[in-house]
Amino acid sequence: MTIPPATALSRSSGIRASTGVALVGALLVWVALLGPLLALLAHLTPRSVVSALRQPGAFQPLEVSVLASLIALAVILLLGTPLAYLMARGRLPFPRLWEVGVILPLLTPPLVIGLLLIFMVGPSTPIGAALSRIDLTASDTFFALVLAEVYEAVPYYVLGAAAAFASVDPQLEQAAGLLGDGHWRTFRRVTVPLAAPGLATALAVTWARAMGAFGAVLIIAYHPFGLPMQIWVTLQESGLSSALPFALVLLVVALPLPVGAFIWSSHARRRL
Amino acid sequence: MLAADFEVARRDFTVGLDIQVAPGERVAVLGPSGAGKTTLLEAIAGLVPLTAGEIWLDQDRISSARSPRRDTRMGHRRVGLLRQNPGLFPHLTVLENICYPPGALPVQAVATAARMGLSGLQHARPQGLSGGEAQRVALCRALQTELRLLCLDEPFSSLDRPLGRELLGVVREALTDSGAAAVLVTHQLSDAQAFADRVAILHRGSVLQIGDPREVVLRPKSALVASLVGYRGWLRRGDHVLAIHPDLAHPVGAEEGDGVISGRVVGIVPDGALVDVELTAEGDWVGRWHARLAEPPQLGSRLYFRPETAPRFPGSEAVFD
Amino acid sequence: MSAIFLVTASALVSVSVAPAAAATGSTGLANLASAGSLQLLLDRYLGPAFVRASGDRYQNQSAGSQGLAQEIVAGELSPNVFLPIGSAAMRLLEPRFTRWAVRFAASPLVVAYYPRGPHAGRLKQISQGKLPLKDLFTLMARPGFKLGRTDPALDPQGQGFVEMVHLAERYLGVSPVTANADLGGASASSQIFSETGLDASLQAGQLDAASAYLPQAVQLGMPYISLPPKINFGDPRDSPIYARATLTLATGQVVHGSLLDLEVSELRVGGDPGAGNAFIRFLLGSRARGILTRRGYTLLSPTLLGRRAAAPGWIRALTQKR
Repeated sequence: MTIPPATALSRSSGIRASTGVALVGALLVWVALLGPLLALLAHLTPRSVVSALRQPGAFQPLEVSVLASLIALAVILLLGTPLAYLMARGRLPFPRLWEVGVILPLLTPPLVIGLLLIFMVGPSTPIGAALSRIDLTASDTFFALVLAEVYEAVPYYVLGAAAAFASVDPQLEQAAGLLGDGHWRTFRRVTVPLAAPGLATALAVTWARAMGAFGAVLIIAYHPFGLPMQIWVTLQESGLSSALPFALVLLVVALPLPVGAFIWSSHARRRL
Repeated sequence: MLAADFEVARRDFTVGLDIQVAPGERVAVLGPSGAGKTTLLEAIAGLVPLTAGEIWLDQDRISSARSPRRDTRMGHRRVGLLRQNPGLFPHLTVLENICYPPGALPVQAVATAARMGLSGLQHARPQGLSGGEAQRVALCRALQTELRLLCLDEPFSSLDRPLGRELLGVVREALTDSGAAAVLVTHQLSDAQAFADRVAILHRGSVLQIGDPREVVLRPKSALVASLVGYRGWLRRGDHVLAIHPDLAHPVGAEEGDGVISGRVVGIVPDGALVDVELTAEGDWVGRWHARLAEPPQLGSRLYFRPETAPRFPGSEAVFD
Repeated sequence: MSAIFLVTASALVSVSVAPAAAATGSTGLANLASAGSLQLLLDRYLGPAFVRASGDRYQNQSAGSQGLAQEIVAGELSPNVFLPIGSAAMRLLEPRFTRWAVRFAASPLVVAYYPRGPHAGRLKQISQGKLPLKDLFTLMARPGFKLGRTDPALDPQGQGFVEMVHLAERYLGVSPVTANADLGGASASSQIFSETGLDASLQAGQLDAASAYLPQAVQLGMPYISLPPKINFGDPRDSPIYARATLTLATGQVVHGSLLDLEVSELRVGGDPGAGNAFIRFLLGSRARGILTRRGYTLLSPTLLGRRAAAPGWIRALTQKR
């Protein structure tokens, strides 16, 4: 049975119209998201950037941020991957409880996370005292900075990685087991390669979050200055035009890893 | 050699098996859906723990209900499992899949692949394979693990029948080459008979009968078994029930002695090259049966049937009324 | 870009002010930018009292004085009243936004301490005068004593505290070695907290002591050790002494110690001049001064700073030298 021509036309133009609307909506969101970046670039003059970066010690916060974020990322990967995997495979008792636990830091304003961390690992707490025995203080130190970044960023990784692991067919893991692989080999040779695109995206987001962590950092790790603190302090000291170059540095330094991860991820996904 | 005598308790019933499979022997377990066939294989492959009994493979006790912690881990039992889902790893090529098992030797893998007609597909990805090709790769891959026993969980039931039959033949050949034994579970009697040296009939977790592929059909031990191996006719007279197999229900002339049962044709349906004729018993026999005949009779006409070879069961075992 | 922000901000302010003015006829909006430590004082006490007394509306944003001044200069903020602590922030706004300021109170430095910490006993005795004040500095110099303070680069309190320790060398006989240890020596940066972080850490008992303004310690409910006027940056008569303490910031800028005073001024760009004026009038009146005293601030007779001629007449009259 053929559709009368008029209906066919209106149906296809209806599809075109809804696609068009979707595209326009997507474009609006994208432009809105990019807005601050465009404002940043418009506000900066090359000269102000150069003079800000020529200050002595101008690159110190950059080193601190990058190093702290890399360590935080490694910690999150190490501690978060088993949790994400167990969550994905439903092998944890009271699964809802675990999910709530993971999402709570996300729901808590970072400022509050910082305040609560004082009560949890501050120098006079039991945990803080134990830490100081191995020469670590969770207050105004590099260790505290890494800790604050971990707390702000770990939910992003765990939730993203859990989704990535869940997308791997458990029957494939079982097949690997049947063929002779133990748990670790199966994880390494089957689970991770298949989950890799999703894991890469999760890592990219986590990295971005760690680099930009500010709320908890402000409370427990004022020093050593990472880039976000540098921006905040410079803003108050010398005004917006001096602070913005550091915002640009933050973007330039933080961006490549996520972009690379997205590119690799979509490439790998196509191969699967 | 497999020596299994175990039970696995499920929510609905307990699945149990007591069987010995000699090296190189092929056993089929026939049963309808939900009979527990998959559970049996999962127990043998080591995917589920036993609730009673033990499983021995050659000299090794690979599963025990009493000390489940010492069960040999799946993958170390040298028991392979082929399922409906071939489980090929999508991120690896066909050859990489075949070489996946830890002890696999590339040279051997290539040779096995060639024997199964997979040479041209070595560098293809599983996503591009047809169902039959994927199962061949899965079989090839399983064979790289020095199997002593291959379990098959209706692996070809989603493929069309001729292809499935062909693949069963491929499996048989491969098993003959490797000397491994096999346990096939299926709900298709013809597959079971084609593949196996012995056929076991499974119903709600229990093996009702096990024997030669023809024996279980020609001499079912109970009405229940008969109903599971293709008998579609039940005639009751007094305390006896006769089970009638459509392929063995050739009509005879009325005069050929008493003990002949007469029936009236009530239905005629084409069945392949033959016709399936449904008849209602007359006289002191009560019931209906089916016969597969070469020529369609007249609807309503009378046919005669000699019950000598039909298995006889006590009335209490009646499956249909 | 700044122009666009300025226009937008002004438009928003006038949009919010104009209809209200049209509706009620006479109420304006006192739009304050004030030092962070004044937030509670303004939002909970002075602000509501002002609204009740004048019928105008009140709005306040409290943050680091320096940072606020920078935002005003950049055009991102347009308050009609500016209430910093210390003159440095106010000076940033001269001459473009204002040419005068009134000093009306002071916020002296104290050392607040955690009452249940390991050193609390000693600190209490010092605060009661049972042990000499010099012992405070010796105690703070002990390794393991956790002292916190705010960032000298940003905060008059942070600057003041460092200068206070240096003045203690001169007037309390604290040795330079002790003073250096007090300020953390090589790991000075681990003593420095943001304001919120400092308050929270002290209250949680993660610090033994912290720098504070007297009213702030009162507000936090923490016990404190008072400091003598010569070193607490709270007495205008000791301004020459304060000025002798210097501090070199990371930017290379050299800062001289100065009174930690509360100053107020009306800014030119902030919308409604009437309401701003009304707030300052209220602030310098007896009602407000009573509140200030109760909250722990040191009252000073209003002094006009900057260009006398530029100030409104009534302020000139009020601050006439007697």
